[in-house]
Amino acid sequence: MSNFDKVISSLKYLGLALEIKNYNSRYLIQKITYINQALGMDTNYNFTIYIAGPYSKQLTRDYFNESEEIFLNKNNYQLTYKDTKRLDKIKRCCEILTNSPLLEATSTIIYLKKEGIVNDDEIIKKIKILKPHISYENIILGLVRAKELLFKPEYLTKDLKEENDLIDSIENME
Amino acid sequence: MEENIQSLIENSVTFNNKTITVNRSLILFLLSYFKDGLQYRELKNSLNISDGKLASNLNYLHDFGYLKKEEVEIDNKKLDVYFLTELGRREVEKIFEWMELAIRLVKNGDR
Repeated sequence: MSNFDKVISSLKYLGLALEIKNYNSRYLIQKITYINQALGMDTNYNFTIYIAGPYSKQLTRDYFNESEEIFLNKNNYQLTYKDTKRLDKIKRCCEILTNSPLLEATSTIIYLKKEGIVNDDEIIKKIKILKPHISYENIILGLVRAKELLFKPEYLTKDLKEENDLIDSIENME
Repeated sequence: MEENIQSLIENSVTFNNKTITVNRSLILFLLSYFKDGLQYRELKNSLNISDGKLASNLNYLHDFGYLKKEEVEIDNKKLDVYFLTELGRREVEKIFEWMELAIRLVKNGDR
């Protein structure tokens, strides 16, 4: 099964109607494919964040090699339970699919975190240099979304769970 | 292609030598890599040059037919995105061939 089959099945699951000739669609494919791969999808594309945010030359080659018709109808890869769980997580952060600067911030922050930069202040500083057009608000929101997406249930310790339950109970009282 | 110093000089006329400035070459190379195109702001941020300098270099390359501009709308904002044309791609290939010849000659000597 090719990497690109997995990309197409994932995009379809997310309900994204994309056209390769459209710049915005290609922009979305690059960023979403990066996030999906960073969360565990075994697509094995190489990405760089410099200049255009998470960008893979191999992925670009793959979608330019496909005709629009194939792109729309191809569906060779059957998503696994793990794949859909991962994509559901992306779906829950649905605003990143409709807010481009936020998507760019979130995907770039995930890249930096994967590169080992974990300090929030350092990440904010780096994003401001790499992406001066992204507002501070979107950087902070991107940081929150990146943390949500990278969070795994096993990180939830007993103390954290109790803290979450307490916050939930206060919110329910309100 | 015969590899000697004379051929290096003679082949320098196979491409437009006005494109060999750092900024123009960088624009062409970046657009060769990013086949999806690059936004004006991405080019400006990566080249770290003034709007005036970037615009004049982009206009120069555009006038020669090496790149094309497309206006796209992202989040209700109109942005300019630049792409390399087929002519631009061929020009980059010519520059690469000339550079490869120079590298071979300088590294191996004139044999």
